Amino acid sequence: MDNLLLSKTKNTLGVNFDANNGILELSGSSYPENTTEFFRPLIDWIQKYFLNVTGKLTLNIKIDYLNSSSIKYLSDMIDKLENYHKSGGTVEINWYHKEDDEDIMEMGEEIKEDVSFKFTIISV
Amino acid sequence: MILEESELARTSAFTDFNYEYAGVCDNKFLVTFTEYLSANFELVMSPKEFKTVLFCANEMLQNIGFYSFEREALSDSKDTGKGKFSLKCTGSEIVIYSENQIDPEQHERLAAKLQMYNALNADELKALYKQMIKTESPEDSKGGGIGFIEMIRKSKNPIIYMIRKAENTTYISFQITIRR
Repeated sequence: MDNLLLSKTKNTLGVNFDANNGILELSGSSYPENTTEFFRPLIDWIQKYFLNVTGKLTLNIKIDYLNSSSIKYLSDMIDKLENYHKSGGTVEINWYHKEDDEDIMEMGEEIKEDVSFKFTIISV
Repeated sequence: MILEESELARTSAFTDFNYEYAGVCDNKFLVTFTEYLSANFELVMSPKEFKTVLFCANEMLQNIGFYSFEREALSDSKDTGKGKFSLKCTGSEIVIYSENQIDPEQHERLAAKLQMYNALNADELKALYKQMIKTESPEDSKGGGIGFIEMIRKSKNPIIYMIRKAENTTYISFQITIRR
């Protein structure tokens, strides 16, 4: 399975999905012109990973800002991880936020309330 | 909550900082505006204030681009909405305002939705937010359908809106205040 690499831009996230070690990273800000066009390949990649690789998956999230439609797609992505975990897969999310960024920290706390896998909030 | 036009004018009478824009609100402008906001505000606002302003301002500009009835063709066979936007900042509050033309058929439905959101307390808004991010976006939504809810939650204030009719055109304006 191919890795998925997208460079960070002013309005789209940097993406580094590594199929070899199951470590996925999202970083930066997201308010793309077409949110569906940006996030759909990411969600498809994760679903393909679950079908073909079935190993542990670690998602490192290092975001600065998400617009409302990006929040919705990220939530959709995390739902896919939750389903994988419920079906016996191993999943972990590391949610990074800047020490003074309450907004991103609170977003992480709210997501953590709804997942049953390991979700660590890390202040940097 | 609907304010009379005169009340809106009074609440916008700030002088400390004033950014005003009228025109096309496409994604290119959103990127330019976000850079402008970071360069001018990130160091003079608290991180929490800055993130709230960034979120609310971008949602309002994006809404103009998506939904304004006044459209402008872009070079790549798409079109985008036009409208007005302002950001006014004093030592005690930050007021973000937008106005655009609206489909006359749509304003009552939108007003009812905002009225419902504005009446909810923090826990109810959180519950609605969590419900909305798990459901398909409404058919009439080009975003995630959670923008207004998040603006109210982050600013901790209602969205003030006003419908104005001039000749054959209907305008809708939104105002959100962030107390400092």
